[in-house]
Amino acid sequence: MTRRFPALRFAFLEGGVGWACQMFGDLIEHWERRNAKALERMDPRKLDRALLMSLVEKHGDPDLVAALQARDGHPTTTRA
Amino acid sequence: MRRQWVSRARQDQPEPGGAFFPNRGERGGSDQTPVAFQEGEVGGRDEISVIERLDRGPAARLPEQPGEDCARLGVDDQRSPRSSSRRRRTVPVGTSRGGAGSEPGLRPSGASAGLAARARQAPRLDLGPWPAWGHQLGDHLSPVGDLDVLAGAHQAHVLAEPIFQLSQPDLLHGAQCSFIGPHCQRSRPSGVDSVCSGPRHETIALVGWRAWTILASGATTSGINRLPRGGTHMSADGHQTPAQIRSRLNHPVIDGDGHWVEFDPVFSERMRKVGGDRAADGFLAAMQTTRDALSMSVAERKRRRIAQPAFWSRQAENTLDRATAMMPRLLYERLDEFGTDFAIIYPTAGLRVPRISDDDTRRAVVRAHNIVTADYFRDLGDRMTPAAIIPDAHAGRGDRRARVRDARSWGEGGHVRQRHVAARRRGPGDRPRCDASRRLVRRAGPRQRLRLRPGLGEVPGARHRADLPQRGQQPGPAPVADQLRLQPHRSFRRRRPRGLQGASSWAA
Repeated sequence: MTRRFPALRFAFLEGGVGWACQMFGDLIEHWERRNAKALERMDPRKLDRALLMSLVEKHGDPDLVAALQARDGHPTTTRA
Repeated sequence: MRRQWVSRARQDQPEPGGAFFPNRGERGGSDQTPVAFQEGEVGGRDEISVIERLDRGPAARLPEQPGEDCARLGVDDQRSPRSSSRRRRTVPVGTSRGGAGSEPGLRPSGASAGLAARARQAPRLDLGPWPAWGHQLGDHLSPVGDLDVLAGAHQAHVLAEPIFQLSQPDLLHGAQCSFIGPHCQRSRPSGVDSVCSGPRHETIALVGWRAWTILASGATTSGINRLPRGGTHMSADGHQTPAQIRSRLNHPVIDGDGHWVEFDPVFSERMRKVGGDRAADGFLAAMQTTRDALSMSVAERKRRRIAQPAFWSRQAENTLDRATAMMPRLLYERLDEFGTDFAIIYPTAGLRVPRISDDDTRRAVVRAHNIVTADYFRDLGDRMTPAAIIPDAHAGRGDRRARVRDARSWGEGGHVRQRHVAARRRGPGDRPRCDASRRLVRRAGPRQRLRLRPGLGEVPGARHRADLPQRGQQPGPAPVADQLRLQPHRSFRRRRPRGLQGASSWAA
């Protein structure tokens, strides 16, 4: 292609070494977030429901407060 | 004597923002000009059309002719004598080579000047429904004069995707314009016009404009990166707070990949009010896919080619962060704490909405989702803007190749897409056609099954993966969960995924 069209100018998106730099940072970041110890922070049992409710009452809308109260303060999710 | 290599970035480290200008020294001249957005350019949520803002914004102040501009500013368009690659075409802000005519605060380049020239010559656009004005906008912004081929332009499913690409150096203009122009022309079906007006229309204009404003006003590419990703700040300043890091920068920090977590029960009811039952129920049905997948047996999940979904995916111990993700208003108040000047906020539940297969349902859900999202962020527009959703062009269509391509390039929705493959079976002896989608997944062999066993061995009595902790049940110990998270990498390490945007951030 480059021999047939020597004047053709290419630009590669998301194909440079810049991705490697970002991926390196991401690997460290995600390892810090997703290692076995860090994963325990995601344990739903560790959620402070009283604190969550107080924050929702302060910053959330009334419908959010009502929905959370109906679930005893636990933000049940249906997705990953 | 062995010479110790010292990167130029570290030599420049003491200077503000020095790490973000690694080749500044080569161009000679200090860069102390603060880069700041003008009032009303970034932020603000007025109703001014895109081209009007282009005309009176930084674009209007850029030089007329791209070629002359490059020569006057000393931009070397030739090959570097020390390497075969082209030099960067950008010019540091406020350098002595910028010339008397260069306006401080701007960083004009050939591409941006070309965009500005086209924007000035363009007639005023009447922003009609998508995609008419989107195509016209692409015509004005596409850097045809600078690039002939844009390789790697990916299929974007969320509208503000080019914002994310701003973190890539040097080709920002191409990234932005490849999305607004060719991508939209290629993938937008004609039938979505009437569905996608409203908040999406508004968000497109604002997001597109803001992205372009960032470029024209000379913000550095690294400044757009989400700290502390990449760069030297991560290792050198790892223990500083984001606010401390922000205080040392002389350019705005824009979170181009922010997300918020929609609270399904409330969000769906708001969707019901604006979009009816079809929108709300369609949204909840899409959210149900994960629960369904987690409740499947291993055999069923394997037959349908559905991956093990994640569990424990939300912050729990840090309740404040969890609440922040749920409430945009709280996130808005914490932006200073995060060191963020402006944030592009993507959906979380909404990421799978474009893949709803039924056309009418998908359009209703997307539209309602956009309306509700816009309402959540209505009063926060000076520092945050939500990304709207566009319906997937190929969802529910007969173009199997296109759907397969999407499934490969969009990891999160892959399991949803692949259901269709298994559903085509007519009987026990009727095997699916050996088409591209079948070739995507290697048949599970003995070695692969062996790799699955260690994870099962961690849970006493578990004979298959369905016995392992699932969402909605009492969660198991964390080491087991961690082991399961690593399983796909071990089990399918022979696969060669070709997804674009393959950075590890998507793994989360």
